[in-house]
Amino acid sequence: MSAAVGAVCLGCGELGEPGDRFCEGCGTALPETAGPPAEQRPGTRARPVTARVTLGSGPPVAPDGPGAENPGGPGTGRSATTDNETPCAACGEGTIANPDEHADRGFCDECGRPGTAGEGTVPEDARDHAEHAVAGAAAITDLGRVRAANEDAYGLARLPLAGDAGDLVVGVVCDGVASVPGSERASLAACAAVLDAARDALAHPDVDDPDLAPTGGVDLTELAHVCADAATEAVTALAEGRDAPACTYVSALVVDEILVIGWVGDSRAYWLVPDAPEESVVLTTDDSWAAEAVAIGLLDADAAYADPRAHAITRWVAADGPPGPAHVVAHAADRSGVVLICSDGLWNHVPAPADLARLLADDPAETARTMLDAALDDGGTDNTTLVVVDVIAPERDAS
Amino acid sequence: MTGPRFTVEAFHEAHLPEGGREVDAIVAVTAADTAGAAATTGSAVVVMIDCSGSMGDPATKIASARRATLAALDALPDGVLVAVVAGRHRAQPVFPTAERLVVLDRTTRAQARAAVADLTPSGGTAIGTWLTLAQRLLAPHPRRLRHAILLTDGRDEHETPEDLAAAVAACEGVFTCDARGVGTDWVVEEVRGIASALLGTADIVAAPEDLAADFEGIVAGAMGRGVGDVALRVWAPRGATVVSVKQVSPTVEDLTDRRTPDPAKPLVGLYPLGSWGDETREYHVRIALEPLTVGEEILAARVGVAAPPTADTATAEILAETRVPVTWTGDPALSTRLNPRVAHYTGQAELADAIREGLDARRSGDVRVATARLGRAVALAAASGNDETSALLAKVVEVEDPATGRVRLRREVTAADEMTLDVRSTRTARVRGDG
Repeated sequence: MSAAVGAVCLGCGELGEPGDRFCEGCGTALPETAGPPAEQRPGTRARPVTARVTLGSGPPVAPDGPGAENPGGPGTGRSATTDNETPCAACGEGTIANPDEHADRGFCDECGRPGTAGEGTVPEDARDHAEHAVAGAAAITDLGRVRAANEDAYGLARLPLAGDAGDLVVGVVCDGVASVPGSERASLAACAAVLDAARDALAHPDVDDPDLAPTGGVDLTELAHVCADAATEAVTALAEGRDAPACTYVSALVVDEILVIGWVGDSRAYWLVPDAPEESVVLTTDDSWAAEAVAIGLLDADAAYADPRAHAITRWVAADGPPGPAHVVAHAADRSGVVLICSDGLWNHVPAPADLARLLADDPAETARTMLDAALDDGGTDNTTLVVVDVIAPERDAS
Repeated sequence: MTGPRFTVEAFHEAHLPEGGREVDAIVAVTAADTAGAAATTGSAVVVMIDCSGSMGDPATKIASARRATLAALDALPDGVLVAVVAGRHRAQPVFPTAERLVVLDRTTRAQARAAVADLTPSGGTAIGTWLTLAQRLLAPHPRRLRHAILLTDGRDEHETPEDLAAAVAACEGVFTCDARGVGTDWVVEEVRGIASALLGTADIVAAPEDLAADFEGIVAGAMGRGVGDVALRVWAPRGATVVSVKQVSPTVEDLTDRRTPDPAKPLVGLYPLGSWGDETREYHVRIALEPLTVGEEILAARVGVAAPPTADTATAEILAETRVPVTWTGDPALSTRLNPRVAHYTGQAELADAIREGLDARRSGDVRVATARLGRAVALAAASGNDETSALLAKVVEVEDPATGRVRLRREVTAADEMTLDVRSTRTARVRGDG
């Protein structure tokens, strides 16, 4: 952790980050602080996606942590017989036919819509409630029952990779910081920027690198950073005068069994195992007061999360955001499951991975609605936004 | 030995205007490496020769028919199953004289030559009975590439058109048939109808002495084919309509009504294409879609070549396939584009229609319509570089300005020239630059 400490808010007691001018908790102007910016996290660029770990019951491994450079062991290689057929999100009846040698992407064998149909971001005129679905993934956002406006946004796309690598699903969820005017624009701009960045990156694959063949010449870890940087750039461009619109950020990049998560702030990613809910895990660590208080040994978890400052975020995406790259972790799933990224409007109500796994339905769109309903039924105290993506592991011999 | 290979390529505009419904695609199907040892010895051929009384008037007609039949037999290699049928008001097997096929070898060739030399003109014409006999001869040999050659010199007058149509229908899928009219007393529509339904060629041999060379050409074409019985496979999404499927090259053939559904896949239609040598044929597929909103994309069609389902296979086996995706756009610069190949073959199909309508009007004495339609044909042929059709049109009309299609009907037109133009009206030019 950085040795630099931000100012404590005189209004609510929130601990600010170095360089903060306003309190994230209550919006009050903070006393000036001095000191160096937060330490840059080194060496997370250009890490080949082949450096990944098996998703087991253990905790996820951050790229900065031990084990990131060494795969968790053999046996997670991509199978040549991976079944690429995914249900069609557009009609719900057909399947997206395997792209053949003449084709660069899949179309539904019933309705003819591409597996990429239904991708996009929250429409500007439908911020209160919106849904998108592509083959194997779905996104949903909702105002909730208490808030006056929805400052959350999502982005979802299914993009064909070069060669026979199948498709990349890109999901992103951003939660606008309510205390800063214009943050509803920040979250949407960030999501749109992520989809643009991903499309741009896929248009320029490195097809000569054999390590990247399973992902069509795209380094997913690098792409996770590129997406986060694009989001930061888009949000930074919204800053006018003293107002710097801000949002949290969590993204998921999924190709078959490979998944790469990037995040800034307290929007989360979960790995959900439908057949074994208890083996589901959180893939992210919150950039929040409570999480950091626990991490530096200030308080134990119960006390930290009981504190009124618990959910105050310590990192966010904005012109005035704490600098440094996004957290990025890469995994290779050893079984099929679902990756969920969501704003705290969902996980405040249903925090436990196993409980979320029990909400999994037959298809992603149904899962998204079920999870939203769970948050609304529990009070819907915040904007709720989530993206779920099917992770398809290669068939393996039953052990 | 590597088997035959098919490749399929689609040409279409990928954008539709807002609310646009129809998608046109030209699909080029190319077969390669079709020649194989099995191709020649695996064939079965029936030659149907008109031996009605009129074939003796003049006597050169029946003599030429005999020579042409012998030329065809000489061009066939040993091992091919053959039969020769004499066609009159009923059909008579003349070689062999029993209702069966024989394997061609040194002995049977000599027997065949003797039988053909005895062909004599007498009686009437009922082409349906000839086809029915050919069907009975070829039906027991489904593993062979089955082909027939039909020669007539006159109108099919000793049966009803319904009889002929029923006989033709019974032959579909059993064998392919090239049909020829010799002289100028036969009916273009009858000969063309038989060849069209039986996936063969139709032509005129105005001068009897040219028959032998023509038959040799037919046999060479038939023996060059190594792949029998493939189908055009067209998938369209649920809710879409396959408006039309036409072969547009080398000739125009409307296949729309020949669709049979794939038993396992109701969205898939199969259109029989007959046998193939190393060649390219092109098809125009038109699909009608329910419009989606601007920016949305749909796969309007998958078009390919398939081996039809057999007793052992539940569904047609895809040999090659291409896809026709379209996106609705608000950009007129994109949505108003016309694919050059679609435009070319749309013009070639219109050319064939204009010729037939023009000749019909001319026969019924409607000079105004005949002049207008044949003038339109002249303009279309000139614009598309269809030089063969331009030359045939020039024998029926005096061309004053090919660019605008200003023409005058010729006063004196030989029957042979008119029938040649008529029977060859469906031949299309390839897109220029294709070679």
